[in-house]
Amino acid sequence: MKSALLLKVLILSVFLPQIANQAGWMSAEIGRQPWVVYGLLKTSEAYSPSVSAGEVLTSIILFSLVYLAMFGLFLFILLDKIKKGPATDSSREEAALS
Amino acid sequence: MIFSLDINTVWFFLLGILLTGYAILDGFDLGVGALHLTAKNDEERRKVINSIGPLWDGNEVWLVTGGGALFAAFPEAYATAFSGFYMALFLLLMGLICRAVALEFRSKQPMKWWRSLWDAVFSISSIVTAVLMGVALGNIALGIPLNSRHDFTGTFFSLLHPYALLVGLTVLAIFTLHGALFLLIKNEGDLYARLKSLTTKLIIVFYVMLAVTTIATFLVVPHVLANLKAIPVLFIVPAIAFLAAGYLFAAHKKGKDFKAFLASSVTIATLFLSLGLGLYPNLILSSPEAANTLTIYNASSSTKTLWIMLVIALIGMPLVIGYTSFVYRTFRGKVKLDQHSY
Repeated sequence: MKSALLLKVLILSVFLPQIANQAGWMSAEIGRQPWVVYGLLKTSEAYSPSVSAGEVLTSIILFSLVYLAMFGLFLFILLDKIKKGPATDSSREEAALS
Repeated sequence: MIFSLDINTVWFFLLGILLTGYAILDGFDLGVGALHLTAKNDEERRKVINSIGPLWDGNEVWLVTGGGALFAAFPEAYATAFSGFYMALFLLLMGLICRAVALEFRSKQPMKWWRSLWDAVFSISSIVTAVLMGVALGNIALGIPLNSRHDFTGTFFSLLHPYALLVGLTVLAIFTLHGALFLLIKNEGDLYARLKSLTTKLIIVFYVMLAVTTIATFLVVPHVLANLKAIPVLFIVPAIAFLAAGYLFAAHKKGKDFKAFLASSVTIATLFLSLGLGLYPNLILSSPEAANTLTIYNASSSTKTLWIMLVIALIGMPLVIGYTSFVYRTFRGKVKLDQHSY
């Protein structure tokens, strides 16, 4: 299991499922337009009249900021974990004591 | 007869059971969040967090199923609530997201500033979430302005009615107390001693809030008492809530922490049931134009859908109750920190 090729593929596997997930979601959402329920209900007939465009924009911006911040945090924690490497038996004992 | 036995009514009360389950379960972990900063050092704070560590995310499932059941059983009410309360629910979701992130990230780095930051985020977002839930409940009791298409015609700020804010603070008070009683079950030593005297104060705060809210309910929203007045025997339900709230103090004084926690659970459940009995058969009251109210009949799915959902619920609910009890039994007893803890 020490093949260099396998290890490189495993690095990519961090990103590939993410890309597959997002791309699949986008094809479903964009490919279905102008329908929100295919053949039954148009998106233009389905939106909430009581939610203003400004409210939708506000929520999109704030959600994006939160997700960006969380992505930053994720990278910070992930890189830190990579730098420290996998736990050895002695470091696990230390962690249990601290 | 005010109450009729049909599938719509069954779903009204099933929805009530899901939301009550949510209030009892996530209620204590929101309360634990509200109390988090009263823990003094890092070890105490980790104990506070790990008291709810294996439980909090399972508790939130009840809110998801409640929302899902509302969507499937009463789609018109779901649409009106989720569009009308758009910004409020957005803030609620932000609160729940921040809470979860704080819990997960806090103990992943040793720096003091890092942990203090997440401690603050955890506590503030728990408080905001609890208050927003109470504000939503207050608006359900008050009624909201709907037009003839059942669309909400108010704004985010019109939801901040003084009665709704009062219910928001009352929910925060009961959740905080509920959380303190849970922490007493799960902890020992200094933390226990400090929480114990704090709990006595929290009980008094809760009594005051409950009394004020009860009086305000009679004055501001007498319409939610109409069903109870029509069938006076139903007043037994709020009476149980008050008895359980009274017993809570006695149990706490005798050091019976688990019984006190059960008493606060019963109080939450019976207060919820009182509101449900008062609202029935309405889901979202329209005020001022009462004719536009959404009921369990004009907001429901087809009868066939409701029956199919009942079968699914009867299979699903025992599974959820089963795994919930399993998790609670597995993690019973006082908190001990190890390398798997938060």
